[in-house]
Amino acid sequence: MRNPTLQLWFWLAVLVLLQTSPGISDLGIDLPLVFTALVAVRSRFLEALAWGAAAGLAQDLLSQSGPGPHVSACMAAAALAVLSQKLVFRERVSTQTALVAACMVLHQVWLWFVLRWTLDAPLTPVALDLILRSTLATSAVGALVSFFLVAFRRQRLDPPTA
Amino acid sequence: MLLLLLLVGSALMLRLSRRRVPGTSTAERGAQALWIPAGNLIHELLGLPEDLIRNLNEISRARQENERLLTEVSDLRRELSAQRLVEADNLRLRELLKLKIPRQSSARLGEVVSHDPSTWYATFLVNLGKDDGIETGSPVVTPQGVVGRVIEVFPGRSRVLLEEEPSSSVAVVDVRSRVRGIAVGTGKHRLKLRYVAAASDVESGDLLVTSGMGGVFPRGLPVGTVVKKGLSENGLNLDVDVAPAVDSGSSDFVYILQPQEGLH
Repeated sequence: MRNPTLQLWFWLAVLVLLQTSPGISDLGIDLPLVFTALVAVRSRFLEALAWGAAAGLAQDLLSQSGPGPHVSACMAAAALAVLSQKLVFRERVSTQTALVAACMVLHQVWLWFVLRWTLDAPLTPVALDLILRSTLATSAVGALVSFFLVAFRRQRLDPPTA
Repeated sequence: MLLLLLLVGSALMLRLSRRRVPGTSTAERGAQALWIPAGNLIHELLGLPEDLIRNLNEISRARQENERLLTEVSDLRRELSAQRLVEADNLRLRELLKLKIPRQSSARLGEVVSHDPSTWYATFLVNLGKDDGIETGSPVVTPQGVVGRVIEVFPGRSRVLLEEEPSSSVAVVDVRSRVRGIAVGTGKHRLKLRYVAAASDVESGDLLVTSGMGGVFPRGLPVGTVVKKGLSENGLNLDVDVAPAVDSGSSDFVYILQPQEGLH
C-alpha cells in the first residue's frame, strides 16, 4: 500500500478491531482517539475533522451508544489537535504524548456531558475516576505509539540522525 | 651335470634374493622416501573430484532434509497452537457444564465475539441472535454467576449489558441474613448495594444472590460478595461495596436463558 490515505484507513480499521478485543476498553484505552490525535496534528483542518468523524463513527456503530456521541467527541479532539499544530513539535515523543492526553481529556469530558444528557453516564465520582483512568492509560499507549512513530519518521526523513 | 647346474643356480638366486630385501639399500630407501608421499599425493589428487561430488551430494541432501524438517517443525508448531486453543476451550466448556440447567431448559451457549469499543459502556456481543430465539431481557449467566442481560437483539448477534454498567440493576438477597436490596453497577468492576436500611445485618464476605424479584433473573444466581460496608451520606442507608461474582471481561462463553427461567 503506497497510498498514504489507504494506509491510514488500514490502520484505523486495525485499531478499531483491536479496540473491541477483551480488556482494551476495560483498561480505559482508546486506540481510535490516539489515531485521531496523531493523524490530526499532521493534517489540514477539514481533513483532521473527517478522520475524527470516521474514527468516532466506527466506535459509535460498534458501541451501545448509536451514532453521535463518539463522532462529536472525536471531531472535537481532532480540532484541538489541528489548532495546536503550531504549539506541538511533532517529532518529539513528550509533546505528542501531552497532545494525546489533552485530546483524551477533552474527548472524555465531552462524552460525559453528552452521555449524562442521555442518562447513560455515571455520576461525578465514578465518572472522574473513569476519565482519569482512561486519560492515563490512553496517554501511556500514545507515548508508546509516538515513540515508534517518531523513530520511524526520523529513519525515513532524516536517516543520519536516526 | 644338469643337477649340479640347477643347484648352483638356485643357490645364486637365493643369495641374490636375500640381498634384495626392500629398504635395505640406501638408493632404495631414498627412492621409497620420495615415492611414498608422491604416491599419496597423486592418490589424493585423483580422489579429489570424487570427494567433491560426494560432498556436494551430501550438502544437497542435507539442505533438502533441513527444508523438510523446517516445514515439519512449522506444521507441528501450528498444530500445537491449535491444540492449546482446543485445550483451553475444552477447559472453559467443562467449567460451563458445572452449571445445572433443567433438561427442558432452552438455555443457549453463546460465545463472546466482541467487546464494546467505548470506555463508557460495559457491553459485549454474543454470537446468538434473533434466529436463535434470543429475546431482549434474557438473563446471561456463567457457572460463577450473573453476567448481565440482553438489551439488543440482531440477526446472529445479541448485545449484553453487563451488571457493572451504571444503568444495570439486579434485585438481590443476602444468603446469610436474607436482607434484600438492589445491586447497581458503578462502571468500574464494582457494584453498590442500594436501598438497605442502616440497621440491616450485612457483613463483609456475605454472598449476594438474585432474589427473583426483578422479573428478569431467576432466583439463586450468585451476583457478588460484600467487600466493604459503611453508612450513606444521609445516615439512613448502608453504603455497601460488592465485588461481582463474575469477571465478565474474561468470559469467553456464556449461557443465555429465557426470561424468568428457573435454575435448580
